[in-house]
Amino acid sequence: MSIPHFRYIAPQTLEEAIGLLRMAKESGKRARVLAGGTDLMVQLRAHEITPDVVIDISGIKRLSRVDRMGNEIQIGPLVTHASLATLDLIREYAGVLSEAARTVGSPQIRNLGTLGGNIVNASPAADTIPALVILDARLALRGPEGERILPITDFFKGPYQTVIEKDELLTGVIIPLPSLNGRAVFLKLARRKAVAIARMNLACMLYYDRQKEIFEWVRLCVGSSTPKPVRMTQAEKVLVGNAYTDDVLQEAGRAAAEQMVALSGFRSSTAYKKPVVGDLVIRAVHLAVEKG
Amino acid sequence: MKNGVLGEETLTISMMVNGESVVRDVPVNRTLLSVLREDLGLIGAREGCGVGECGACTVIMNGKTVNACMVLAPKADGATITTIEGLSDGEHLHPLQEAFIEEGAVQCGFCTPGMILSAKALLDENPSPTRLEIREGISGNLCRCTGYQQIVDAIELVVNRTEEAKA
Ligand SMILES: Cc1cc2nc3c(=O)[nH]c(=O)nc-3n(C[C@H](O)[C@H](O)[C@H](O)COP(=O)(O)OP(=O)(O)OC[C@H]3O[C@@H](n4cnc5c(N)ncnc54)[C@H](O)[C@@H]3O)c2cc1C
Ligand code: FES
Ligand code: FES
Repeated sequence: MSIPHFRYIAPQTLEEAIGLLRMAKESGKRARVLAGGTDLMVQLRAHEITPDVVIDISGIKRLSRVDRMGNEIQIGPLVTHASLATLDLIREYAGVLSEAARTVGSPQIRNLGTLGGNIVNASPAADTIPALVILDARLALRGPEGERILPITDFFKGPYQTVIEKDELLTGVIIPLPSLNGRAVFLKLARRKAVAIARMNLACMLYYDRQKEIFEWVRLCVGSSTPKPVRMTQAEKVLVGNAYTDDVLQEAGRAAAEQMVALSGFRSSTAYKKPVVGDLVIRAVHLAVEKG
Repeated sequence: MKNGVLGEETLTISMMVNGESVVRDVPVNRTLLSVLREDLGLIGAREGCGVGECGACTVIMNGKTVNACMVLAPKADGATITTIEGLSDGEHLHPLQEAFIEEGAVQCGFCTPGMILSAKALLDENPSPTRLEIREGISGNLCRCTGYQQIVDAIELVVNRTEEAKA
């Protein structure tokens, strides 16, 4: 299908971009931010969106940076999945994000698609989101009134719904450096086109103390199974302080499945997803413990 | 901004395409793929799905493979682009093109330009990939005909030939 008619502008600075968003908002124009375009182009072609103006932010250089600042790393929203997968700084301090980015789409999509686009598009199946949730990421949003920073879990209202204002840009993703030396795993169920529901992913980070034979700490987040991304706290509680045994793993799997059902209600996909969530949790914990 | 109007409807874009500098006025709502095919007559990049899934439209933009159907034309302003037409020098085929023919990796040929460009980008970055790495490298390119075996064989043939030439 053809692409709808719109105007295009490519600001070179953040201030300019925010000024344009504000002007569009004040004059009642529908503006759309364009980063890599891998979600936006599909939506344009399907005429799901018909903006008056497309504001291409990809020329704003400072939004492509990755910096280490004290005990945090700051990732610009324009950093591509291909870069997340290969950059040393990310692999070392946010390995689970690297692993998640590596599974996105195809090499071509990873070369175009950005971290910021993945977050703001807010698809329940977005692969970087569960990784960012367990990394305790915070998002920096910038609008005409200045900057606000919020935990990633406060950013989403529901599938494809976020708290970002029409005149705000996502300007940075802040990840605290892990104080504990954990092991991380990202798992994704292969996408079967015929069964779109079969898309699920999971990010897991944990530290298992082999001397004391207990899980010291565990963080789990399962994507596209709950209305908003959340940690699987029930399963985490089952594991922490306990030993790595079959019984404990099974119990954690059950706890995750129950939390998922409680959060999402009984939707048609829930029946299918319930046992799958449990299995994913068990597999991820197993793989993370085996990592060392 | 003029009279409350933001942005442009048409832009002049300049690119280096296959080593030649190209300047065109294009409506901003077109894709790089349509500019390459319709304005520049470079029809090697194909339109299969139009939504990033099939890879038939793959080109190399600033050293990286992209789906040209996903790139809005104004984004290509200032870019360096290689399409399949830029691989051979007009007389000799590129080693990948030769190997694809030898291994029977070209059947209907629809996927071939994109496939070869993905293979080129892979080999530029990693000259001796494993079969698994080759499969990953071409995972964004769908082929309905070959079952991929011959394609992986062809890419491996180029890897082996390059290594032999060096030894
Ligand atoms: C074939 C195909 C396969 C895919 N496979 C996967 C997959 O396996 N996993 C996955 O998670 N995703 C996948 N995607 C989806 C997509 O590639 C990702 O979500 C990508 O990260 C989007 O980034 P982008 O830069 O292309 O976003 P764009 O399309 O440019 O933008 C997406 C949305 O975010 C907004 N936006 C972007 N940046 C900002 C910003 N800084 N501030 C404010 N708003 C912003 C845009 O306005 C738009 O609404 C796939 C897409 C395709 C076409
Ligand atoms: S036509 Fe571009 S990916 Fe299919
Ligand atoms: S040769 Fe026909 S699609 Fe690949």
